[in-house]
Amino acid sequence: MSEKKLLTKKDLTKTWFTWICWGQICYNWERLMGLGFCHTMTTAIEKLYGDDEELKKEALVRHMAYYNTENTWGAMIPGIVCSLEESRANGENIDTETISNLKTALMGPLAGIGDTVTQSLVKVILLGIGIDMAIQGNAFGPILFVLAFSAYAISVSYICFFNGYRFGKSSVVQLLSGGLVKSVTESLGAVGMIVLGALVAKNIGISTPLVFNFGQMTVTIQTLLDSIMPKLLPMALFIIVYQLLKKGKKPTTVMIIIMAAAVLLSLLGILA
Amino acid sequence: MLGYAIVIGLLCWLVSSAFPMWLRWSFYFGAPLVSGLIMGLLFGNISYGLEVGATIQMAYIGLLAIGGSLPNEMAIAGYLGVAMTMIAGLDASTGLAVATPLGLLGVLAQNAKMSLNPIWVHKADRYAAEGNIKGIKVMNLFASQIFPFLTYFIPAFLCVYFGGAYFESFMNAVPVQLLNILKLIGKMMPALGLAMLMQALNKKSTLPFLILGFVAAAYLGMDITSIALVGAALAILHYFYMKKGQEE
Repeated sequence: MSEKKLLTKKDLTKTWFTWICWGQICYNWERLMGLGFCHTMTTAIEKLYGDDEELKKEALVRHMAYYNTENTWGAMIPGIVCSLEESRANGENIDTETISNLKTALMGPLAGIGDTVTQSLVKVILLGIGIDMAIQGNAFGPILFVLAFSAYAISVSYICFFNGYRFGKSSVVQLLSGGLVKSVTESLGAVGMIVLGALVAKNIGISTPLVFNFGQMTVTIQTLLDSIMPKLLPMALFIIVYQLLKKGKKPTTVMIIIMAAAVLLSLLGILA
Repeated sequence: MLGYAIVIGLLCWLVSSAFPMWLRWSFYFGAPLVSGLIMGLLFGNISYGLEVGATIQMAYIGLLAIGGSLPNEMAIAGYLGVAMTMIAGLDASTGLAVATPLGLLGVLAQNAKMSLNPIWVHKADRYAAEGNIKGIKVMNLFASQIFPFLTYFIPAFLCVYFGGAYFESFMNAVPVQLLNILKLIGKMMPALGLAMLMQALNKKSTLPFLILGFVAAAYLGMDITSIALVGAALAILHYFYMKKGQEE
């Protein structure tokens, strides 16, 4: 009986750090993060299969497969894979197909959660704060954004990676299927929506310069609109654009529509 | 101009491809905002830089990269866009009209890199079959940077080095009517990013929060930090009520 081959805390930390630094550096249309994932696994593979050239080659080839997820929440997957490879190297009955299937099965859902939380929530709120400060001439705005977003990426990926390693696949499946993630995601979505509503009022700066003269009376249309509801035009534009997207128009198409509309409305003097 | 061109070219490349991922996120998704500060320091006018960066950033705040593609290349739109706007001395609100077309061209740079990088992946396949871990690392860390360097650094460098002087006089010759159009585009474009964000977030049960956020900003004039805090409090309530509803 040979002694057990275990991954040390140092091995795992190195693996996590490789992932959060270089998991996506060779991003490409063919295998997306495939090469990055293989690179991430090299520390564990060397440790677990280093004395058996054939097993080592097999493991390296296995982890070159197509792979794409979100970097922070998706860090859970290399964590789980490390724990599975470790069990496998120590003779437990885990076949390579299970490992590959698990990677493929989890990368989608974790990308879903990760993209939503990271890009539509954390990024938007931090950017909103950063822009607010920068517009007032405060140079700390961009700095705060970089520091806070980096801290988020590092800490969340660290927590996800080590939890993935610790609990193995069963708990993840449990976590993902349970109602917990759903209600947490929805609550986070609620914060996202409130910030979104605020950004519609703050970031869409359109108004109308239209002025009508009826004899001696001058009517400024913008004042009239403001008395109905402040930021009425930004909200209206937002709803129109949202409806276009909802009808399946591509973002690039909508961008072109907006440009064309801007030309027309500016020349006619309706919007500014 | 040579120094500026090198720094801006390097930034476009590093931010799009070479920085470690955890750092790249903020430099990429917040490209115009962060660029505003960097270019402000570089050109010696911080308040102008911040204003240009923040104004351009508003349009991109809601853009999401799902599965690796964006309708606009943020590194180019941000670093090159802010730089060109400042070199030409343009109004911050015109900046987006400079950044967006550059960002659209930047999508080409991104696609070229994404289409050419599989060459190194295939080489890495061979190293994997040979058990050559060092080879795999070299492919991932260094070979992967050859194409991004060519497709990001070189166009950005050329644009600043040769275009800078002409760009300024070109933009000065542009009629006021056209500038007004460009400004209006800049004001309307945030609607697209925000609508994309709405698509990602929208659920009937959280729709009321959109109205609350709008009212807080439009009627009450609250800033984003305080609105986010109120939002967090309401979300916690939402969470508890949801759980209560499930239990019953």
